[in-house]
Amino acid sequence: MKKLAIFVEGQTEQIFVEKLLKEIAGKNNIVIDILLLSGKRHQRNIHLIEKNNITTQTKFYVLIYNSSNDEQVVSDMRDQCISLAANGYERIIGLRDVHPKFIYADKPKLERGLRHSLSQVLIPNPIPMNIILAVMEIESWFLSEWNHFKKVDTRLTPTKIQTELGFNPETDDMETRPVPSEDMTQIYRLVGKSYSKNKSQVNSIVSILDYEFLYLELINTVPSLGEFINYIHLFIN
Amino acid sequence: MKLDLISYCENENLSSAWRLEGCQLGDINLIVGKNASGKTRILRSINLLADLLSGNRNLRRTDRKYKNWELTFDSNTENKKIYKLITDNGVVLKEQYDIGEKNYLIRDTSGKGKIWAEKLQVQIDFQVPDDELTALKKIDAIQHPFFEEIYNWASSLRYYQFGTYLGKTRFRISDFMPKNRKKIDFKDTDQVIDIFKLGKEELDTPFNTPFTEAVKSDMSKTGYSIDDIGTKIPSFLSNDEVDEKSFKPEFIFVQENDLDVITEQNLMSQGMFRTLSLIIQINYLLLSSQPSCILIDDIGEGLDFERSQAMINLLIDKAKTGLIQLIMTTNDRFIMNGVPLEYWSVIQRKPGLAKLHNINNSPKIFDDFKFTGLNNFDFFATDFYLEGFGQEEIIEQ
Repeated sequence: MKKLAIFVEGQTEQIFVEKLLKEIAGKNNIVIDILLLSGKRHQRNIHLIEKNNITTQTKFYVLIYNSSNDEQVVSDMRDQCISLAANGYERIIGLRDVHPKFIYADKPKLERGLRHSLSQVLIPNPIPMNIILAVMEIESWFLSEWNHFKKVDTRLTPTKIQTELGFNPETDDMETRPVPSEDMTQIYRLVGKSYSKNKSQVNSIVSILDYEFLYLELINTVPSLGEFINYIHLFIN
Repeated sequence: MKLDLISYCENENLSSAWRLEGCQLGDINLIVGKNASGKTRILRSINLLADLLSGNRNLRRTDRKYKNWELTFDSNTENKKIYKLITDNGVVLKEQYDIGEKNYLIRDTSGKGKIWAEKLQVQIDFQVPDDELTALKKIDAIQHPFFEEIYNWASSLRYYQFGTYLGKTRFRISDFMPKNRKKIDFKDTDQVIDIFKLGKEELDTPFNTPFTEAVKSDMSKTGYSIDDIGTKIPSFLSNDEVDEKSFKPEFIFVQENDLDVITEQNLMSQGMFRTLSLIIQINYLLLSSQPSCILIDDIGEGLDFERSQAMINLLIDKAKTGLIQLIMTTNDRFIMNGVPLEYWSVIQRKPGLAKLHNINNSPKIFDDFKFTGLNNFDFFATDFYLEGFGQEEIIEQ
């Protein structure tokens, strides 16, 4: 059984990643457990929030750590990597947003900085550690999967969004949107609905995303999503 | 008058030589370094000079090592002031004071020199004993008013060693209480009971108690909520014992709001008493309008994470008012994580040299660190402050 650890910055990423993994690996082949890391920077508390049974069918095991904070993802990866490597995990992936602490132009520096931090850790039996930046937020991936808006309300076509809000999620590069979550809010508001990051709404959005479109099409047009899915493919294959 | 830059050297040309480089200071400063890297030595060098300039210490009674200070004050104004002093074997070798482009004092090892006379508008000759500082000896509001500023800075500078008792083991004897503030040694940080009593006497009235309230409020901010604070005869002494003696010892007590009984200073935890002592002394300093520079060695020592963070935030808030300059040292992870990097100076220890790295002399490295996603402590622990990202290539794993 292959083992992978993924560190995410919050609940939205956690729910999306869990669903994405099941779609790519196949529900019956993968077991995913989820840990929540909370507390101050130096005193992290770990809570098990989802535990599933491994069966003889299980080919892949993924442990998702929800770091509860974008600034904490790399620190948590550094703190946990030695024990993860010792326990047979073959790769560690981190996923965090660029927004709100950094602007688009900071992305290369931020990427370099985070990778530098990971490269400084001395692991007795090194395993690959990768950090992916969702540009500017993971909501840019939701925006890019523009088909799902019609499932929320048939009136939410790319043309209507273009007319009302001045950008087109079908044709424009959603990674250049400064605050994608704000765009989601505006789009939902067009049909009298609201976008929030509560668990039930994220679950419902994640459930209506077109995953075939995500990993066949968007993987080539949304670089940060493509990078993330590529690392998952490396693990699965 | 604000200290902006200090250069210091002791035992020059000897194997025991030690030099301080790059010590540029702002309003709020956290000097960070490993054990024995020179953190305390930096504060002591500033404090020693302040003691000499305020007459609190006699040059003959110092350790007599060769010492060379150069202090720059108010460097962002037209009236940048530079005070230089070299001493050796208990005497002054050189002393100089310049404001802007103009020289106000120069003297040599004989004690002879020239000093600017403001009323006469000329340089005049003088001579002082070779073991005395001209800047102290020649204070004169008419002819040499420029020395008053140095004296005020030096006499109101305070040096607190947070890792010490800060007065916990001392009590005050009522009958021997100094009758006025001139008899209290404000630089003796163990005299907290006297300072507390004086604060109540000078600053509080029956209807308005700003000093006591400030102490209570600051204690609450640092996680020690108290409803009352005062002094009393220690309860371990019976009234009979006290009456028999010609003096009445006094302890500080507090009423913590979650306890039914008062807590006397001997029963307070070391961390709580250090916090209380520092808060009393700093509030007195601020409310009696005589602030300048506060040096705190090993800030947060003995406090848990929450309280050390709260203590730091409290001190930074006070320094942000612009009333005091704060220079603190630490090697504590909690403290480092709680203080923004812009306030940091990290000591790089080399043989005979303490080189400070801060945002003024290494702006790119300090700025780059925010892209690492790490805690401030890692800036120090991973030696990022030395090379930043350096020349390394990004390694794809």
